[in-house]
Amino acid sequence: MTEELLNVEAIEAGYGDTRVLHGVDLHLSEGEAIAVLGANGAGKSTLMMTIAGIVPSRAGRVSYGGEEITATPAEERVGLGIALVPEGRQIFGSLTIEENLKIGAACLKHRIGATAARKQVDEGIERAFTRFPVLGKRPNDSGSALSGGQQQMLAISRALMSSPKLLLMDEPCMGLSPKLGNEVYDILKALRSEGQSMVIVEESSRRALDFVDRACVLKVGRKVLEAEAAELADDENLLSAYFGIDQAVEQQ
Amino acid sequence: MTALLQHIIDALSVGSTYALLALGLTLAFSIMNLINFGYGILLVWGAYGLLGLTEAGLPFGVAVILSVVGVTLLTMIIGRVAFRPFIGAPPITLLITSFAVLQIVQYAAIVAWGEKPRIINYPPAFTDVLHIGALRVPLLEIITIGTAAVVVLVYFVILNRTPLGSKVRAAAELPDMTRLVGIRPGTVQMTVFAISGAIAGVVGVLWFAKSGAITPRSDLEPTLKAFIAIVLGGLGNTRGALLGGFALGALEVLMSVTLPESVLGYEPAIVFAIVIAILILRPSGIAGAKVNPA
Repeated sequence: MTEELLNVEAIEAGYGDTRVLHGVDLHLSEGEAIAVLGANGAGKSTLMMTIAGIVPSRAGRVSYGGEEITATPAEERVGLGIALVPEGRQIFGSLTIEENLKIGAACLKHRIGATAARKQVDEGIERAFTRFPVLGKRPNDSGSALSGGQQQMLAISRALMSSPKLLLMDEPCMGLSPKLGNEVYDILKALRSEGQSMVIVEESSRRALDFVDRACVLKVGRKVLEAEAAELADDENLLSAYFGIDQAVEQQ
Repeated sequence: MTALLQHIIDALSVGSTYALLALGLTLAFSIMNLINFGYGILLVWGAYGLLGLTEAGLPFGVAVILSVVGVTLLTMIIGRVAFRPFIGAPPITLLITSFAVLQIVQYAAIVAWGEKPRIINYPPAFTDVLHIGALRVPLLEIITIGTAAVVVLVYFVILNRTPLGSKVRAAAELPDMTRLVGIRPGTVQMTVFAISGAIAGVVGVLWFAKSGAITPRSDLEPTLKAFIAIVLGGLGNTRGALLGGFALGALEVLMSVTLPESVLGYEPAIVFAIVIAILILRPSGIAGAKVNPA
């Protein structure tokens, strides 16, 4: 039941001379969802990039499915089943919608062979277009022509193309209107009900706490709190004390 | 009228080789921030290869294909051995590496072929002149323009219509995101070295049909012309590189036609003055800069 999926132990990471993460632990079981909350600059994105393998860890250990992957390069981690929907979505503007989806499945050829990969790519594209009809209407439009909301839909679809076991979502609602943000959360909820394991990074807690199992709060590169989501949602004082962000922001 | 047409064909032909060179260089820059001063020496090695193969008695067409394949492989080997370990380092490191590569590959040519100028025995198709009315068109110019058109077409098909091409475009735009979807940077880099090398191989065949003698130091002119074209067009931008190449070709023909003979010797100085002016006034090139390989 509680098969370990991801285990981050005392991870330290940063950029150049700046250390951003000072020994962060994160544990996730298969089928679980956890929210990583924290103010701007707390190190949430760096944590995601370290799990995905783009930012190297300087100390500590990352293991996935029981295997240590601390030194595994990013391009191999997606093949293991870790997919990141990064902050700012990072859609390839010079590629079409369909090319963006296809490239999301680039790791499949190595994993399951060319023929099986082709079949899974076709199915994945169909699923994406069923989930987001707006993308399917214009598959040859370039990624740069999409609105923010459409880009987020494409970014999620692109990550799903590799059939990840672990989905990392970095601030999925950033820059989106509240209405679009709700739509993104509806999608995430649907994925949750399909049993998708995920780590979701958010600045504002309310929406995320609704559908994750657990949540932790980062503050200047350290984990200061971790609890069941229901517990945190009930105890807003505790949360805001650690969280240190304006309640006004959360009310949005 | 005839004279004008003649000049246009001349300019297109000269511009074609510059445009191709700029294309090969700018692709490597858009992916790896590589400013490669060892690019021209690849043409020289391609020409020596063609020389050796034709002298060995191979049919010209076969020799051309083998020399282009040879330059492609040479470029990939250089890329793998010399450049790849430094990718991600500051561009200046790669630039200096390219000077080192140039020295090594150039001295290898001196050792292998000597410093005496050598001439490739091109078939008549490369040397004949076509007379259409008063128009006098060297066949080489038509071959050059036609080859350039084919190369550019193939380049765009590869980049825009193949899975490998979309990986290259993705890597030029968002290198980290490209890794995150599982594409090995090495695959993209080797693809780029192969394309850039193949272009150098093709241009080598055309270049020495026009300029004649090959020496191990014949690399300077093509390298310089390519960089001038890139400065004109904007580094890292394919359309800019092509535009820059043709602009340089047009400029050279225009000067050779209009300038009095006593000033013609200063042609390179005028070109460089224009380059400096552009660097000051419009550092992103006449096409405006945005890294875009396709």
